Amino acid sequence: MFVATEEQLVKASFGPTLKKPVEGYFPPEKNHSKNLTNFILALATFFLVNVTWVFFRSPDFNSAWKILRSMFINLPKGTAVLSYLDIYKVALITVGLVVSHWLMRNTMVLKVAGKMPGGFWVLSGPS
Amino acid sequence: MYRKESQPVKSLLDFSLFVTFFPHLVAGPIVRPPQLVPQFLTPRKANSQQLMQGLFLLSLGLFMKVFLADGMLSGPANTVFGTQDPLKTLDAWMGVLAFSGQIFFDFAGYSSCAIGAALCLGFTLPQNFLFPYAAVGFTDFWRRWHITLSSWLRDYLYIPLGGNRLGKYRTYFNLMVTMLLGGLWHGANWTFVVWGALHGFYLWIEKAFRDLRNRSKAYRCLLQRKNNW
Repeated sequence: MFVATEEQLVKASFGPTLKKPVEGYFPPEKNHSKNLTNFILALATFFLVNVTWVFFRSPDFNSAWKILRSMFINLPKGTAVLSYLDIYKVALITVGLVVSHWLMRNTMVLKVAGKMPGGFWVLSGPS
Repeated sequence: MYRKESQPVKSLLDFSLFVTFFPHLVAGPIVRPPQLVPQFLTPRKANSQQLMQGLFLLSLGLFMKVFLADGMLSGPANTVFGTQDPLKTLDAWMGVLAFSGQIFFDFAGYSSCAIGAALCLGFTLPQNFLFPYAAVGFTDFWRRWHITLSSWLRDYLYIPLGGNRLGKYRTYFNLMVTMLLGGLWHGANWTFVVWGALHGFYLWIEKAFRDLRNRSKAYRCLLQRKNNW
């Protein structure tokens, strides 16, 4: 019987440590160690990715420029459109998102879940 | 299939199942025949571990999509991107960060649901996201964000264009074309093309840095060998 273990889930996305890329699989970049330099580089990457999302989300170039200008220039006529609650909400979720990604970057969701207290039920069972 | 790297599907029934396999039918992950068709050859029945893992991924995905993306983040993102007036710096950033989180939780949540639903039935689908916002650089980012799309673009666009085998300038050209068309894949609007161009440009800079570092490393090696003589 086919049993999807963690290893097989990894394999399904990347293949084992492949010598040559196999169709449909992407060998991961060699794992960067979790030091401060790499964390700063990751934050820089996240920053630049956010700039690209402006174009992805904006319906046209006018509004994309408007957002970019608002982001990088302190416009005198800039209006506040978000409530404090919204700002706290977004800030909290963003920090949580980036930090959790950083902490788990060299692992997998199911692996983390299996290690959580009470998480044994996720990974337990006949193996 | 076209490059003879996979076998033809054995029966019309299996082929139809591959095309209509419901967990990934609506929005991916993009699954290739070699990843799924072999799993059709034997009868599937999830064991308790697969069922539990599947249900966990399904709940996690629903939480990401329904609570975080739709409930928490779509509101502020829509407000900021829907405003006509110039914005305060803080508000503009919060709107962009909200969208950044929204698009991740939406799509990764959906992918997690699809993988979980398939796992509940005893099928394994490829991972689609691997903590992308912890990426160090853009090569790393594209191996963590929408993995099944980037590997598809690599195999059916970048490599057929010549990949990195036709010299330095052609490699840069191929990278950019891949990212531009990857942008267009998301929708017929020039903003998506600019999004792709920006990513292509980032990849260029990263590649230039890497080439430079490799060259100086090779040069240092050479110097050292000379000194040793």
